[in-house]
Amino acid sequence: MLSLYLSMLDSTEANKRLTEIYTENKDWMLRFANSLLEDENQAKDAVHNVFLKVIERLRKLPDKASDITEMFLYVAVKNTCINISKENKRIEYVSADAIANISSDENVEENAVTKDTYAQLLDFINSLPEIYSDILVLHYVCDLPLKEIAKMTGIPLMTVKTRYKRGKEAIIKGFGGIK
Amino acid sequence: MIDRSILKQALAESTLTKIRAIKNSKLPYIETDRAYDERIINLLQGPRMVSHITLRNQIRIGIIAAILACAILIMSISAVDSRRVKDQVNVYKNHIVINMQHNNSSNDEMKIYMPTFVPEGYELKAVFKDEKRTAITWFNGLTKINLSQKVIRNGFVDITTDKPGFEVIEMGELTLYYSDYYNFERSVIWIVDEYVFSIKSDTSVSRSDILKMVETMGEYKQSAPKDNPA
Repeated sequence: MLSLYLSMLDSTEANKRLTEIYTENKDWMLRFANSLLEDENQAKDAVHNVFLKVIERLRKLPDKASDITEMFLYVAVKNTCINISKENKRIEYVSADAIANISSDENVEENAVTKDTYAQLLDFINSLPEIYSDILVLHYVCDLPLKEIAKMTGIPLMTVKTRYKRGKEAIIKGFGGIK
Repeated sequence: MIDRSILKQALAESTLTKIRAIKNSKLPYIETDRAYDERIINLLQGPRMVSHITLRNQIRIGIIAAILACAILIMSISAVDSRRVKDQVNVYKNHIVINMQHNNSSNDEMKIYMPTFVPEGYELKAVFKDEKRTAITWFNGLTKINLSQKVIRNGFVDITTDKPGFEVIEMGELTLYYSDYYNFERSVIWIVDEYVFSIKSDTSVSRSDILKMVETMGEYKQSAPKDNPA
């Protein structure tokens, strides 16, 4: 499989980078995808699709395998699995396991702590629905523009903008702003 | 006011904690093999990628795609057949499908239910709601419990039953679908009228505490829970 991915890359340097990313992250990505999809073959499809995205976005990632790469891959695996789930099940057909991850796009009512401490900020971020925190991670930590995030996740750009805005507003409301 | 660098650090720590949890979990490892390589070739899309594949492989991709198309067609026909079953609960080999039809109450406002019992040390941190769902989160340090509630008035709920740690628990009039997934997370799903509930946590919350949360669920009105939906 690795040779397949490598055949798509032009330079030796790019091959080396993808090799590092692939070998260091393949195992946990497959396990994570399988835990979401509960199907080994679909998990393999998901990870494969993520590596296609890695190739497309290779220049956006750091030179060496790093925490930022892992975060990028984590969000990419999750969104790819969500997209596969949507393709598998028609709109009226709801996977009960997915219900556990329900969060709303609208009428967000955050119960933010007001003290400006790192621990409370961490608590607050952990309590945000991941549809918001994932966008914030990709934007603030991985330095991806919203347009790139939309391409990478397969989420419409307007939805990405809305989630970014609401996630950011929740933090601003809870902590008085971002400087 | 928080510094952008602090926000970046907190966002990174939150995500890396989730990744570490996956790496340290007992989730099963998945072997990749040559058959996998061949299977994924057909998934390659876009002219740039195809141009890197030899003519011989392009022919193989075409053959695999044709076989897959036939398989998908057969599976679709099977799926349509299975959906013709109109019983409320349909039990299949690997999953249970529950048919939910509650058209009479389509104009009712959604009620919100919350447990009176929450495991010690957990604090309510966030409530998210819209017209059809709510998501409530309690935190104890970095561990959290999520309670989700969704209205399904005309649809199906599909519950996978062949995963490790799955069991069906009868609690009064409720049927609970409980899962203790590879010592990675616990979840329980149950249905009351038009509402599908789910509680999900990592394994630091005990099975008995999760079931006690289900047992103490009641309608949430202002500050006090009332009327157990069971």
